[in-house]
Amino acid sequence: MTPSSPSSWSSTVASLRKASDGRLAGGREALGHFERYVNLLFRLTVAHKDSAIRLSRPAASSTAWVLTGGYDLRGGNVIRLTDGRYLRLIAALDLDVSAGDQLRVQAMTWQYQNAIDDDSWVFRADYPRARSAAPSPPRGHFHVDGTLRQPGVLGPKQPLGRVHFPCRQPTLEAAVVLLADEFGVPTNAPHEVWRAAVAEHEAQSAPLFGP
Amino acid sequence: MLPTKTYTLTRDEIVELVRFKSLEQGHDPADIFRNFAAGDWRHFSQMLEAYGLCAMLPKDDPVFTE
Repeated sequence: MTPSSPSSWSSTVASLRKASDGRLAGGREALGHFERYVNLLFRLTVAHKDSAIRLSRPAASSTAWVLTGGYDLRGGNVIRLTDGRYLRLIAALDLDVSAGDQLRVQAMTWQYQNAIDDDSWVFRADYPRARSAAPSPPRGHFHVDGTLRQPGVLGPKQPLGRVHFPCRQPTLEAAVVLLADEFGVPTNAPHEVWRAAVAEHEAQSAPLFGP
Repeated sequence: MLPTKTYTLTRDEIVELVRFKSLEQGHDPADIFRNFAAGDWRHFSQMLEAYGLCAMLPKDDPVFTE
């Protein structure tokens, strides 16, 4: 058995399934399961072996927690990827008391970028759960930093990177698939292993974003 | 992927971190606290960690009206 054989990932896949079930079960424990799920999802897929995430929670009884890339509280929010680039990740979490303390993503952003702490981003998904009465971008939206081939489509002061392309729920599974399949970021587990895991859990992630 | 690090933060540590992250991005911390309290999460991607930290505080925390 080689380190990259499908069977060598079976315990990770089993732990991922357990964490996925736990994040959906509600209660304070769901917050911890979500952290575990994110760690395992990236471990299975596009995270460099030295990458890290951190979870910040209040000493008081609040159920609002924040999960971000990186270890350092005063540092950046990036997860180092296997291709040497970075995914900036921030997720604000809470429990929905009106729904039996179900875990909800209150807001999330993930951004693929070329360097650790500069503005060399490639694409970004933003999701604020709260609806605004004021005119605002679609709740879930996607940005791409680039240039259109067709001239005059956008105003002279509106770069493509500031266009809000609507997207429903920018799940982390979608981020992983985009990175691996479209941008060629190498994955740690074999394709059939991580693909099956993502397929199993992505649909279950939708309720975390709420109605 | 390394094991996740978990930080348990006091109220004062949360406030200090929001201030740090606001200034780091060139924003007045008072604006960020006020924006959060008003439900106006402007500079969303850039400031999301700060807003998420704000959400850990009680809604009537004095920092939101200072």
